[in-house]
Amino acid sequence: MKCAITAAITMTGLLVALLFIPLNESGSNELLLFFGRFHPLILHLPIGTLFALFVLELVQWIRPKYQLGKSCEIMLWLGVLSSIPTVLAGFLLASSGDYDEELLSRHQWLGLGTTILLCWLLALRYWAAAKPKRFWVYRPLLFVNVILLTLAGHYGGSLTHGANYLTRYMPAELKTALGIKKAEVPAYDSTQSAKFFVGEIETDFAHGIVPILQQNCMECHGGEEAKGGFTINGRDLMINTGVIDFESPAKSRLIQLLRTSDEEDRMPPIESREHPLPEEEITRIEAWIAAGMPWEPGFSFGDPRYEAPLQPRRPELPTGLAGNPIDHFMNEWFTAHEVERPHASDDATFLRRVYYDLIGLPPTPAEFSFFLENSSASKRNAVIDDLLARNTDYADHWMTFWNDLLRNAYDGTGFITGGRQRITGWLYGALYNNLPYDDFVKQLVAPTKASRGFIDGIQWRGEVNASQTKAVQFSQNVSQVFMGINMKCASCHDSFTDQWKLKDAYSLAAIYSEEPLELTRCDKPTGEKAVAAWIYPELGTINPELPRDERLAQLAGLITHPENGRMARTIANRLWHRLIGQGIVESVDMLDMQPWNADLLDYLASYLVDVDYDLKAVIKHIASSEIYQSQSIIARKGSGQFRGPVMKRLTAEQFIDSVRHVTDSWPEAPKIEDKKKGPKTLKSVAAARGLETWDGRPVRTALARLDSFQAALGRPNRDQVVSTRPNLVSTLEAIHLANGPSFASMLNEGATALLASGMPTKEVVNHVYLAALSRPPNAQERAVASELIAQGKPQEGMADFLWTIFLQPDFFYIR
Amino acid sequence: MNDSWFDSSRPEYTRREFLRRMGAASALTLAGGAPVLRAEGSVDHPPARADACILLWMAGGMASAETFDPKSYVPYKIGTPVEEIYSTFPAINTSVDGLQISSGLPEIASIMDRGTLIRSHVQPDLGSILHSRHQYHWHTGYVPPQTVAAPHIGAWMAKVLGPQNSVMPPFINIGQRLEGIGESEEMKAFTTGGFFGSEFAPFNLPYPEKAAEAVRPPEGMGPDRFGRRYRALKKMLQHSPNGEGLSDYHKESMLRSLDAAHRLLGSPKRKAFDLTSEDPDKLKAYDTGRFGRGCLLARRLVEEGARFVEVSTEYVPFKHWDTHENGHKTYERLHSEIDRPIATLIKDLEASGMLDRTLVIVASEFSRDMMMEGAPGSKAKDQSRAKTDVIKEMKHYGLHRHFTGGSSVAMFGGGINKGMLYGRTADERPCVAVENPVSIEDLHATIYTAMGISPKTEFDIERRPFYATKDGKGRAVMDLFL
Repeated sequence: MKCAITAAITMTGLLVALLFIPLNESGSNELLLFFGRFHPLILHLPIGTLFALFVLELVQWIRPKYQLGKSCEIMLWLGVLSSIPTVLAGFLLASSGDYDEELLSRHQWLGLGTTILLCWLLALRYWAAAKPKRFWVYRPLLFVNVILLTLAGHYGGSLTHGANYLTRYMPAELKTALGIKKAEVPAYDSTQSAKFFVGEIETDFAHGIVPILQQNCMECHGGEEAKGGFTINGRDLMINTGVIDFESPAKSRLIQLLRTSDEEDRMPPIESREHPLPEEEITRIEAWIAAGMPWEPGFSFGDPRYEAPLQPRRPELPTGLAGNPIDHFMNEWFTAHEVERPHASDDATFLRRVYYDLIGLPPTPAEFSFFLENSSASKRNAVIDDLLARNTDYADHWMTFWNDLLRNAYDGTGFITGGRQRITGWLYGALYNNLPYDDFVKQLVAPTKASRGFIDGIQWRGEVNASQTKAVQFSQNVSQVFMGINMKCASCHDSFTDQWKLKDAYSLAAIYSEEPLELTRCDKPTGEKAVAAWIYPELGTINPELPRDERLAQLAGLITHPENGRMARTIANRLWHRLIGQGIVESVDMLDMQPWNADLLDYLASYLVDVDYDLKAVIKHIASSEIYQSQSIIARKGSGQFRGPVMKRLTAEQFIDSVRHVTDSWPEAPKIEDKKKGPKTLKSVAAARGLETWDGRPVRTALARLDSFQAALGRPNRDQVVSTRPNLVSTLEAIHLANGPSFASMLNEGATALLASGMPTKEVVNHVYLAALSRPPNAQERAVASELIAQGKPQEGMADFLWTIFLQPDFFYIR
Repeated sequence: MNDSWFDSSRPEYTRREFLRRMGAASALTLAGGAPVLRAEGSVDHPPARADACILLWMAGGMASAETFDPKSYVPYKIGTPVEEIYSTFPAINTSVDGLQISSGLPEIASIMDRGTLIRSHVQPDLGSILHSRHQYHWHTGYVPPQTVAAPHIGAWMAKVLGPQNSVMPPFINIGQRLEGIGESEEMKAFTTGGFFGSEFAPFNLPYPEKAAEAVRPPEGMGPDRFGRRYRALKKMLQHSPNGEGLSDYHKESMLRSLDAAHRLLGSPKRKAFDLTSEDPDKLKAYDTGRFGRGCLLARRLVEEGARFVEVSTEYVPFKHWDTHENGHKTYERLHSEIDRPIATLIKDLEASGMLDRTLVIVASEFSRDMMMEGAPGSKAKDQSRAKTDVIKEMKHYGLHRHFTGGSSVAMFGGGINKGMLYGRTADERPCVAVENPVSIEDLHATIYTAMGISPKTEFDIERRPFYATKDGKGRAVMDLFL
């Protein structure tokens, strides 16, 4: 017992002394820090010992005959002795200064208290062993010590893992039951000046924080940049990325990244390896967080953003204007921007372009000659009318564009599990009958069985990321296709680059969803339920109580609302892009960007409305303008500004159709009556044309299944909405064109057809040039062609000649 | 932008210059939909340890307990409870002390000292087992569906590193048919250049023995006629009245692509595609089947400068590695199909001195187990076709359920450690990875690091930064490198 008392006194002295000895005060001695880091390791020994002791004492009390007394004494010695290195290491660790002062202080006092009490418990036990009654002093004190230990341990855990370690993933119900409040983002009065204190010194947001952020963070995290998902553009945006901890600012991920000794992780990168952010600046940011992040009202690190208007707008036209108003706005624009107007295109160039743009085929030599020889002043308009009246040809061609945009594939991902449907029959019918665009949109958004495949999206088997559930796909696709809104960013978080918020994406999704939808930010549920709502409340609202079909009908009405200028502008821009080759808003899916000619865009949109949403009328209007009928520009790489119509390359469908058309070698159409073998696509197309059986018409490539040759030429998979195809020809495509078996057979079939026509070589060459390039060959070309045809077998020579025609950039590109 | 391969070279501008150009060009870029390389200057590309990468893809879910991670072996006996069986093959020693792999792979066992074996590769639970979905994840680093067309890792390498020379396509895919088989649409979804465009799409060669045809003039056309045809085209272009239009960027680009194609089709390098020109004894060593021939083709292509070649054992639902029944017998066949070709490939690369600069990976989309579907806690449906508690016939004997909790990946060459074992799975069910788990992101980060590409490399597509590894978070496992 004497031993025990001595030990107790010595220990108490030691422990108290530790409070006064300046252990590694500067916190910089690495060796001492090394030992300090063993504190969280060693402490398990005295803790385990004390708990074991507690249990043993309990058992000893209940079952004295086990005679556990000696064991308890051993436990006590073990506990006391192992406490020494634990406490020592604790002090060394604390010296690093990495820890929150208040928490540290509590932990320290409780820990010290526990240890000192433990020492005295050791002495007490020997004292009590002499007279059993004394155990009634010992035991309660032991119990108190366990409580102290628990508290000390709790604070220790908070120091190491953060104060919210236990509550972070606690179910909401348990939190409420325990009365734990959600960590509140402190509100602050934005009318107050954005001042705050750093210690004793007063500073403000504009002077104290903006320079730091601007110099060190802007390049990667401001404006359009948001590397690592972090942006400094606005207060809410910064907070939403989860790097701020208002309760313990020093523990904010932001501060930890600024301070960490790990060079790989430290922010800002690269520079900070040589010059980490000065401690003074980090402290200032900390103080700013502690003050609630006061922010200058209206300030953003992003550039002042262009906000696209919602309302339609009718730009003024001068009275008595002769000619196409499109040209009026273009001429004004050319003058204002000092850009040279392109010259008018000749008849041949115009004819080839308008044929490809409207029906996807080149003019036949007969059609070509007829047009060139015609001297009527209105012949160009007549051609446009004629082409648009060819309902089947028109529909066959525009299926390509709309299939891409509405993600309608004949085969593809998702069909395997029944998680996807086609809208082929409905779509073809809509094009064939020139369904007015507002009805078109309404029938897609509030669909019938035939047209519902678009809004239903693609269902993949298994679990899917929250931003790709069918409801969110709906939100993305409807926004992108009809209104040129990119909701993809906002499907995961508030967009960094435009005004759309996570809530907006989910409000639209909730219109479609039949189950309640929870907002999920960056893969983490937020607890907030989505409410079906329209994103432009000034136009009207959706009633979330209605059943789904009625909600969708309401949405359809709102998208096609006469005051929703975005819908008309989006389609007008797409049509313009199709015909001219460069959109008025550069990215046809992002009408939130600034148009280079707002008057023109607004005018076209208002024209669409004036003609009761007749798409063909708009196409006609653009095609009859002088700007459309101008020469295409010679594009230089990287030249951005509009100078005139841009050359467009043939789509896969146009290319293949042209090869067949020029040589008149269409393959025979399959029989559609055959229940097993008849292709479903043709059946629905025939039905849309009001036919019971296929009328022997050649099957245009847009209606055929995707094969590897078409894929090589750029026909997409249609897993996502596609609104443009690449304008360049890649090397892999060129390889397919040089030796691919399908192209080779097409050429052979074409050669056979031409040889069978009975035309002599000279006529064939003429015919092919006219049909494919819309011009006759010159003498040298004729010579080269004839020589080539004469080589080898007739079939070979002819096929090779055809190849040299179809591989010319002049054929591949529409001037 | 979509340049022909032969223009690809890493832009050398500084970060500031780049951001300035970004501003000016971004409008047209976005119009073209082309992805823009962001902040090239601030991404530190690691030094390249490998110039080429060969991925030997064990499609369908290769059971690691029957190949690289053998566990307790129970021979076939009617009446054995299924829960006692872990492996249906005994283990054999390898050239690495203390490391054993499954019997049936003696030649691979003899070359294990040339590379590293990871036994703790893990995949996420997608709630349902659909092979093509897991393969999409493995090949692109992203779980489908995605809002953009995610590129294949081969496309990333082709895009960021460019081709090794001006003739050989940088990205080649061997052995997998993409038409006429189940899930072919889903397979096509990731066998693609994604948003990089068709310039970086794979050159597909489903039948290695027919590869020569893919780079020959079309059937029935001799090289004379082929050359004559192209020369005729050039002459016509010369005589064309639209001469001045030829300076147009689009036309120029097309002519460059045509040139590149004809260069390949006329180059002596294309002999690499022709297996018949290989030494017959060597061909015999590889020729255990389509996969074996594919390995030989891959070696030849890499020798002539391909950047990334994938050789697949081919995924066809329920066939090959995807055993839903009769696992043991099927694996007996597969062992002999892969053993000698893989070993010969490694030995050949070593002999020619190329192994140090060529990264060879053997991987699969997940592993298999006798009893568990998915991983502990998964909701995946049981798809075994040989459900039983007790072995009653041979078709029950084998691993018939898909397991995502721990699988094996072997890596050779390209600066990878020799004779190393990394990670461990539990010896008792669930056989999850218990030490050093390696996720797909981290494995990709390791592969990219070996090739000299930062796992944080990003491109801007539709104003979204898209990273080589998911959200740029892949971390290379540096312990795996020499």
